[in-house]
Amino acid sequence: MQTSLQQFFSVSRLSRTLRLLTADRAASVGLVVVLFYIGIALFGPMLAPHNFAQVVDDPAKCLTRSSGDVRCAALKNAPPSSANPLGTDRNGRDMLSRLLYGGRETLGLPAVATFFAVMLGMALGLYIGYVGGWPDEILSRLIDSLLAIPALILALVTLATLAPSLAMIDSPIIQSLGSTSIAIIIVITLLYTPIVARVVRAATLALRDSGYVEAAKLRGESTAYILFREILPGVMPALVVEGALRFSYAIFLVTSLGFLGLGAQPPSPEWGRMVLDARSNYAEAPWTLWTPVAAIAILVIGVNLLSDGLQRVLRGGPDND
Amino acid sequence: MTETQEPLLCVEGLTIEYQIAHQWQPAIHDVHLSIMPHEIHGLVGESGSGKSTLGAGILGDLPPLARHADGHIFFEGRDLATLTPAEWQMVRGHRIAFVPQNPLEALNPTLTIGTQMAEVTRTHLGLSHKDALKQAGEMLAQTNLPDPIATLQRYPHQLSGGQQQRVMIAMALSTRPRLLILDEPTTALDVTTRAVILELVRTLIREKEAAALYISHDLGTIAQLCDTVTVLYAGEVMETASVQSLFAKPLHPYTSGLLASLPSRASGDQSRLATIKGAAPSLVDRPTGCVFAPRCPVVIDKCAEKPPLERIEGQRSVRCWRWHEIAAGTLDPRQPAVPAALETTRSSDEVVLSVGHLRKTYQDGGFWQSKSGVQAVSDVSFNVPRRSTIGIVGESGSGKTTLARAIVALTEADAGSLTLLNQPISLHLAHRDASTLQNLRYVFQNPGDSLNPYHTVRSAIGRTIRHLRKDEHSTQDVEQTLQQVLTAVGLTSAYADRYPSQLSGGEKQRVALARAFAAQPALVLADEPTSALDVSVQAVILNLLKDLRAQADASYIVISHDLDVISYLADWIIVLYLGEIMEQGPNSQVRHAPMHPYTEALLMSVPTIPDGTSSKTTLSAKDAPPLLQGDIPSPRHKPSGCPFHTRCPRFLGDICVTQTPPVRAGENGHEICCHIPLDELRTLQTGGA
Repeated sequence: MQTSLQQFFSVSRLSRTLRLLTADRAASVGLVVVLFYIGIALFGPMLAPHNFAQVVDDPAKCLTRSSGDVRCAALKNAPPSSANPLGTDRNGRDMLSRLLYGGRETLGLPAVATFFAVMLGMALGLYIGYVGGWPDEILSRLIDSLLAIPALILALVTLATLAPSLAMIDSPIIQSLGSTSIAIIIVITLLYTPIVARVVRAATLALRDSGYVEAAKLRGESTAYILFREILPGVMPALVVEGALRFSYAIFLVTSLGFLGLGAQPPSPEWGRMVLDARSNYAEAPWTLWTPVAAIAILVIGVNLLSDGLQRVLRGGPDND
Repeated sequence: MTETQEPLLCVEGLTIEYQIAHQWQPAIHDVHLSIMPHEIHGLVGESGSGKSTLGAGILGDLPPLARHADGHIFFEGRDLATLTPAEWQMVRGHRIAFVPQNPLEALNPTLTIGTQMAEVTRTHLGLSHKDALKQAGEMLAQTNLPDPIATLQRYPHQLSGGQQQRVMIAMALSTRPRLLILDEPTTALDVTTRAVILELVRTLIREKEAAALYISHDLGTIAQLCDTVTVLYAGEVMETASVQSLFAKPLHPYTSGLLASLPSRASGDQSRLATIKGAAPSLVDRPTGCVFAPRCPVVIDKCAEKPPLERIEGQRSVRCWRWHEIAAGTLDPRQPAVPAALETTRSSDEVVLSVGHLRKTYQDGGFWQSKSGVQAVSDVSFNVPRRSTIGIVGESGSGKTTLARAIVALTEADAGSLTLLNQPISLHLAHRDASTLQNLRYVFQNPGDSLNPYHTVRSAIGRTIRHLRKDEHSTQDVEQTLQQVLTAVGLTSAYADRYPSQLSGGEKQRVALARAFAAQPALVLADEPTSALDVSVQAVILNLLKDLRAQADASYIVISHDLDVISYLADWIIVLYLGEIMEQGPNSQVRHAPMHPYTEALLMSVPTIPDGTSSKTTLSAKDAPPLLQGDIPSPRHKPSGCPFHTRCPRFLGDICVTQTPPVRAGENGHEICCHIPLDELRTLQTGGA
């Protein structure tokens, strides 16, 4: 027996969604952009000509030491050239390489955090939407009060307290990923879970009293079966669209935190951090500011185009042609 | 009434196309229609036949992606296609008025009725606001709305559905149009309200000397209201005739099939309804020859070629190669009648389900507000014997759906007892065991909504078998039962892998029935099993319900607002009004005197379809009581004493207001809840007095 989730993610469904997406001009632009960025995140470091922290030598300022080895000065604030297509920053690091390396953190952290938020929000929203009553009243008011606090402020406060505490914990996982990264994932999950839960709750409410849910009740199905097999597929379109939207906001949040100096720490090539580093250097080397800004802007636009397209395509409901 | 020879509206060879996947497909094709002044012309067709498209085409209000591809529409001698937008302004809403299906959608919720009505006459007749309001009040008075002046101040949501439709009719007639187009104006209304509105439409159209195009899927209302009728199928005119000759002697096989599929035409208790095989073609797969040929029982080779719409005499025309034979009586276009499946000895004394003093009051008012109750079902008791069918009939708001949901525990009853196969069962779904769930199956009103769009037919039915049939656990067993029930409802095994979106409305209802019977239940509750279906599909499902009952050892409770459906299926009828049983008894007795005044009113409201023996239908016999006026009261303000006293045509006096009527027992368990003694009721109803 094919399960409903398999059906939602079945090859024919995915190919149909893709076909409809590619038929939509704006959505296909978004899809291409997002796929391009995912490629950068996955393969960027392999393609990069230099390491993100490596200082590029200035061939014009080299000295041959008596021992025979050549020591060169750093090529600082070099404009784009054939050797450094996007120029170098004030420390003499290759901008292209930094961008290619930075993709992982800039996309990876929001992706992981969005995944957690979507999963938690889905479970929470399905539950309170279906069960209703007191659990719904209490959790909904809690969600409302959480949403009343501006996201960035909540993020700043939580991050300021969470990151140092995490750093004190002696755990190999935290050591390897970095306490700031983990703190950012926790903060974004905390911020976006209620938002996703609200969307899922609303979609669940619409399906809760449908005939097929009642038919399942009359068969004596368990609550878990009704939630995940009967209701979830119908909620999925809203969830996918909301997930894509949350992802684009999460990118903004991560880069904003980087820009404020609270996120990634030097010498990290996270794009928000790169904007912060380049800000004071704008007069000497404007390209160091423009390249990460453009990278972030194009990515967010691409994700938004894709999520709008998904909304148009999935809104039609299931159509098994 | 003077007849002029010039038709008021003349549609010639009209073709309207829709763009589907970048291709233009005809939705209506080569339609000819003419309406004389003062004529009420019925346009009948099943869903998808293009009848609403034709109405929109005449109004010049086609939806986007539709185009007027060919043909002409002449109104008062002018070709409507040549009109400029400014000229259209003078025609639409003025010379041609429109009454839509859903009045609540057509009325602006933020403006008062008076403002909206006045706007029409101000725009088209140039009246001042004051005069326009005065005229609106007069128009409303003519539609028999109580207190028309106060109604002008009200907003649409403060009126009932029947009152809103009266407002729409008054608004449409306020400019004294020559032609009125009515698109299913009574479909959303209750039977009793529908009958009143129909009579009103007929009287007002006559009074205002207008002509009308009445679009409907319901042959009964067409028969009652119209002078001539055009039958539309797959966007083509099959037959046009006067109402009398069409119902007496249909010339087209589709028309005869349609007429034969009406449950009121069933000849006897044991008979099946005649059905039309197959399904109507979709826009993209229309047959090239005669559009009805694939479903026609008397199809011949010549039908691969499209027959012309032949004019026979006067208004009568037909599009069929074989109409001469049908007219001469040498060819019977009806499907050969299939005898009903043999039913073994029917209802025994053994009781499957016993409902005792069931009550349900909906509590509303939130956490902070004071609670107020709406009594949906009060003190209902009845028994369901084995192998019998109980029919529950009532208008919307009568509590019939709440009663059914309380029995299957989708709605928790407040008090009362339920006994299934001599075992008391809980009123709470969570406390019911698997065997109770298995023995009590429910068929939902809307088959589309009761099937999960993400589950295949196999999954929907298989899950039921696995959960409720304790004897069948292996995959082969489940698959075998699945194939059996699919065959039983007339579907091939290929349907097992389909999703609901790949099924038609009738097929979805078959799957829903298969799912119910897969559990081998003792009792099946069907809530309006055919109300979402077309007439010809309804006949198929009604036959199926009868067959399944004969095969499976099950009883039914069938709920419907349609007395024809109930009396076709049921052995025992329960008439519900505001949550109370007004009358119950054997099918044959409930439909004959003595009966409760409410049952009498329901029967009066059902349009009778002439079968050729009576010459002309009349809405009500001379000595019959008038049709029920007003609407069913809100259960929130349930009348005291007899709940029906506010509308009862046989109202006695104070006793009906102050005292609960006694239950009067007749023969064979027949019970009537009325202050009038049975003998007196019989005398009143047989007209012997």
